[in-house]
Amino acid sequence: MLLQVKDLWVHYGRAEALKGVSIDVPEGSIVTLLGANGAGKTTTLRTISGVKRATSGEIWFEGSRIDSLPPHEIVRRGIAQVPEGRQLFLSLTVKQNLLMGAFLLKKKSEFMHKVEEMTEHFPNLKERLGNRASDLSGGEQQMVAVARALMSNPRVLLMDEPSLGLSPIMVKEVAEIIKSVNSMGVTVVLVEQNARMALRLADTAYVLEVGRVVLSDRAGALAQDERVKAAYLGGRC
Amino acid sequence: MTLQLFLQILVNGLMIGAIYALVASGFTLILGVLQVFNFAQGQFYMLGAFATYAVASVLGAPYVVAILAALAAMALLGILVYFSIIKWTLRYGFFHTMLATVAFGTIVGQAAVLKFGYSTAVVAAVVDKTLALGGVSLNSGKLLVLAGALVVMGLLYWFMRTKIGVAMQACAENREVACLQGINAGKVFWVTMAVGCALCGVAGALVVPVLSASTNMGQLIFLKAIIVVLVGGTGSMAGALLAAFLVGIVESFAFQYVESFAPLVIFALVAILIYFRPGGLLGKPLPIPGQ
Amino acid sequence: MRRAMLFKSNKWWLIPAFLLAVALPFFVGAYRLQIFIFVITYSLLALAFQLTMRVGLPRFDVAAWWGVGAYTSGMLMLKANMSFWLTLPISVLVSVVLGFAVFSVSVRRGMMVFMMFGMVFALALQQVFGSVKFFGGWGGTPQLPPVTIGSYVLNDKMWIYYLGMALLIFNLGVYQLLYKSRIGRAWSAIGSGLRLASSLGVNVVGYRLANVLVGNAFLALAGSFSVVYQAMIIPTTYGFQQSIYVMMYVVIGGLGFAMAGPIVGALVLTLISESMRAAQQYQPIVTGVITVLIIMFAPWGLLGVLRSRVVSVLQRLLSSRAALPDIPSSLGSPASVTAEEPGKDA
Ligand SMILES: Nc1ncnc2c1ncn2[C@@H]1O[C@H](COP(=O)(O)OP(=O)(O)OP(=O)(O)O)[C@@H](O)[C@H]1O
Ligand SMILES: [Mg+2]
Repeated sequence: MLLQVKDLWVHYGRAEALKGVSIDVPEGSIVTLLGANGAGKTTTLRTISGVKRATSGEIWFEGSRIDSLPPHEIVRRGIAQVPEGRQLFLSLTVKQNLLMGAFLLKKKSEFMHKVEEMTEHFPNLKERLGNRASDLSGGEQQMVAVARALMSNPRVLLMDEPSLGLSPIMVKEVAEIIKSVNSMGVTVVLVEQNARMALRLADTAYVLEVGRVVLSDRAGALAQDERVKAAYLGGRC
Repeated sequence: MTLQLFLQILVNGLMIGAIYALVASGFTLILGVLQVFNFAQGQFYMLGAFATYAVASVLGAPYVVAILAALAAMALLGILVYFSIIKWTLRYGFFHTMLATVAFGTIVGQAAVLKFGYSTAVVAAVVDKTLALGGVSLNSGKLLVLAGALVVMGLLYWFMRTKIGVAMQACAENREVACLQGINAGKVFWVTMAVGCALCGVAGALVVPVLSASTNMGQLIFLKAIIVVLVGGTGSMAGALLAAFLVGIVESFAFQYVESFAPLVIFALVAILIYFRPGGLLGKPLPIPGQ
Repeated sequence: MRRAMLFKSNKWWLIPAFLLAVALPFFVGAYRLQIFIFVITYSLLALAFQLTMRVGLPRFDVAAWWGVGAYTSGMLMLKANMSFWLTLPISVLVSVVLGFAVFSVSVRRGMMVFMMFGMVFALALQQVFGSVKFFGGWGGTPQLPPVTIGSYVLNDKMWIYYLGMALLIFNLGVYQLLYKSRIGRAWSAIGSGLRLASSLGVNVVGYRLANVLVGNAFLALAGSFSVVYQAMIIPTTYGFQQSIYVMMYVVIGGLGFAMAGPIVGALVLTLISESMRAAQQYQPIVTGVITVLIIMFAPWGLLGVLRSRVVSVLQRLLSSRAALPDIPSSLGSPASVTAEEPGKDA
């Protein structure tokens, strides 16, 4: 296993957000976490990234425990996150946003190289580099958010609801991006409300309900599960 | 009013505006990035002035060396304060860090009084001549302060575009997401303290040949910095710079006409601005705790 | 029966404290008593600061409004020959009306602007007191006429002390009533989180304004009281530094203790600075160091330490539980920063 979450308990003050969540992420795969609002998906990702501390439980990455490391150390080891709702630095330019994503790269030439790579990947961003992030459309912002996370050459990309607030066409595009990112060899953990898209993309899927994993299986199998169909696939496009 | 008088007051206003700008931008920087309301900000300005006095007048080093010494000393002191006090109180939140800086400021202020007393320390004027411009004579010492401050602002502008400077802005805007990028918040914090305090140190160093140093100058300039930040919008660097010159000029003219009631004029200015433009002059403040 | 209840509640210490306070003038001389009169005054100021902290607003204009009370009473006595007792309601009125004008600008703009605007106001006000001839200038007002009750001249320290105690108890009583009322609950809601409070339909600006104005009324009363024991009013007494000390009283006493915290803080700091009279120039340094240490090692103040150590033992003996009070969380964790994590590293 590349990334392993074992029996994770997380509290906000006295309220329990996660009650013993365990997740396995094999190398090179796409793993999706599904669940209703407030199920604890974002909390799981925040805890893996180290910006929220677990009360108990373990997180293992490439054979070492990372649950007490500071966030920047976790990024250095190769876990990057696209946070919920994109959260670009709106007062900075697109290029500066990418610079922040590349904060751990030491050399300027490395950074320039990565920027070139990203503009190849996301051609729309090329002439947007000098713009303020706040001037971009929602879809463009999502691309910048993904590009920013990829700047640090991560081994694992955590994506929190990348399709949130996007038009159906843009959702398709995001799905393509996820596929191509994965084909570059980056393992993806995808949190989604759009279960149809997520199950199509993913290899394995976990369903969270109020802080617990209630179902986990191969994505194809879960897509056929009656309970999943009723709760997460019904009525959605 | 003669042109002569008008220009003299204007130059005076620009000079104190430039000094306010340095102190207030340091204050805003620390407020925005660390979310610490640094009450000791003015004391760094005072210490910067006395450090310059010590190096230039007592040790007899050239003035430029003294400025650099003041800058370095205040940057170091800022880092020291971060690691010894602020770092340990950050987790208790806004009020506690603020009070820690209040207490630190009190200690430093009184220590300065014990060391230097209430008398003033003067550094020999760097340039003493008045500058004659088409029949108008201006104090060239004050113009030099203005020029020096503008150079520092230029350096600050450049610094805020370097990688660590951008990281400071990122931290100010969204600390958690900044951490998710691999930015080490602790490092950004101490760098911010160093820069914010060095700005004050330089301001004190620049001003000491013209206005002389006294132990109560810190608290006075702190209140001025507060006014500037209110006018410019809490958390806005550009707003603070603009507001500093505005406040400096208004104050300078108000002092000419109403003398000791100048604070009332400034108060009215602030009240009107807060009432009609709550976001400050530029109207786009950064998020700040506890709104 | 009644006594048993009192002991079960955690207010049992009120009785010895009260008795001690009443008996104090019989043990200490006039000079020492004056120090305790100062303690009472500072407690009044700190209580008002604590009141406003309850709605998440630290204020730095405490001493300025204290001065408004003092100057209103003093000027009316001097210029209009008014009796001291008649000036009390007027000084409250002046403070509240002027406060309304100032705070209706700043309260709606949030904590930061409120705080800084208060500082600017305090600065301007002190300039007025110092510079306007009518108020007597920086050197202070002329000699104030004595305060009388009927034909009795109130200049015995003991009776001034008792007057102060009465005022303090009146303050505490009103605060207690307010805190227990609907208004007080709304204040607590605001203090523990703005977003939650406004989502519950609490009129945040309105309740905050009311809170600050109640504080103003009490500050003015404290100001008028200071006229009783002063020969004249000097503007620098009511300056920025005093407001800073008030803040220290509250934190040293214990930020979570609405009533006892301010009083304990004022008592401890005043006694410390008084005991250092011989080395007065070191007194701000000692105060500052104590404050820093308290913030770093006992963020809940002396009472917080006391409650978690000593009192918990006592309470266990008396079989009742006491929890540490929370610091108002709108100040405890800034709204835009998410909790404990970043910055803890490095
Ligand atoms: N910062 C916070 N403070 C307090 N409670 C929180 C915080 N963040 C999340 N919670 C609580 O933790 C639980 C899990 O929240 P989380 O954001 O992880 O859910 P989610 O699955 O990501 O939901 P959504 O689909 O709405 O994004 C919820 O009950 C939520 O109220
Ligand atoms: Mg979520």
